[in-house]
Amino acid sequence: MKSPYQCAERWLLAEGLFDAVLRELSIDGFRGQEGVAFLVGRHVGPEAHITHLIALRGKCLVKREDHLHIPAAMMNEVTDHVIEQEAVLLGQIHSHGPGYGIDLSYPDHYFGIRAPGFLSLVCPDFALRHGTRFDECGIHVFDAPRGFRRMKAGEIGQRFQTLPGKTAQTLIASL
Amino acid sequence: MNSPTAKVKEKDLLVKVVYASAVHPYNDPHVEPGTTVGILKTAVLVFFGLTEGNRPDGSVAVYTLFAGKIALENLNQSLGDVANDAKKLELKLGEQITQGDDKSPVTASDIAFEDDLRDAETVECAKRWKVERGTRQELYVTLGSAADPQNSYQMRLAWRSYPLDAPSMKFCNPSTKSLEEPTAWPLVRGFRPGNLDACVNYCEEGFVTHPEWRNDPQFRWRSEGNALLRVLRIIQSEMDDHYTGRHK
Repeated sequence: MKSPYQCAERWLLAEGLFDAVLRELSIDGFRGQEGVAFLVGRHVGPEAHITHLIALRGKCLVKREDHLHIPAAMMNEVTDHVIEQEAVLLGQIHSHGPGYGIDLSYPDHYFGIRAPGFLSLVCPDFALRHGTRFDECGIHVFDAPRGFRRMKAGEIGQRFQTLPGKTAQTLIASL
Repeated sequence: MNSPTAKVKEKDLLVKVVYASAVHPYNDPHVEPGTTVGILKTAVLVFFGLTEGNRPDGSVAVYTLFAGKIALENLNQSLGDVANDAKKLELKLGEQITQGDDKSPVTASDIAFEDDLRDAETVECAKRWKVERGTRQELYVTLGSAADPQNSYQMRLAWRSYPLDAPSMKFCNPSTKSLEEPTAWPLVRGFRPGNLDACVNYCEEGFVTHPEWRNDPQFRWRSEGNALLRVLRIIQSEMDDHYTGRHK
């Protein structure tokens, strides 16, 4: 059976995408709680172009200092955006508080989306530290069947680039 | 769900299920209308390589099929019923996501607390409060009295099971978060800084002092509506109208 998933060799980030990520996650960071957003785009040959950020709003989200809970109904809203953009959900980024590091925690490994090639990024310090760079995040990729694996600096440098001429857009999934 | 040799029937449904992180959807052009949501869900999870149920840490992975905004939670419902005479059924697969180190399960009480806190933060009078999160259903709220703008107080509200019970209400030292300092308390009707509690019917300590209030229609705790906002508004009102200074 043909796999329904595609694993990118490289990820290209639309201009301003990471700044938009930091802005979004810092909203919760200021409240002393984890933030989360989803990364959306399309596969273009061996590359995945990440062009959209989906932010979550509304009820039923549980965000605490060290905990996130997103109900299936909210993920349904995210899916509606993905369908509308004729895109694919390529990854997720959430923040950790100061001192919590940028590795996925044990529950992070098992509770997030576990699709081959899916990215799971962890932004340090609740995304509140000015000038945080993309490569300061914990960048994990789901390598089936083993699970999420954190990339080393060299691999990040080789596999992540900017997508010139394309500005990132933020979409809101609300429930 | 049909073998290649299965006879195609005129009433068969074309079923498509999108999973957002997959490039290819689940597609089956020959689904009998009598097929249940549960049977389809099993086939869809197999197609996407997903496993519902216990994960290595003992938690449970949960996936739900959606038709538009409607969650198909009745696994015995037939797809023909869902399609409602349409020949094509386009569904989505959503999953519940939980991340973080907090091992305790998210409860309905947690979600109610989060919802009401979010609503409370949007009201006009919330601009007078500085709200900090504690653990679970716990808040630290800094507030003051209109009669004494130079002074502010930090209060800790902690629910055991929001919104079913009244919250514990204590005033604290904002620097140390110590709850043992009578001078952290404002003087307001019913507040007893010397006892580090309040004899009022909007906090747990009041019901400990007066257990008879629990069943008294006039004084009982009211859990309906946004209980969190109601408590904050009562306290703010007391601070504005009945404040006489800081306890010394």
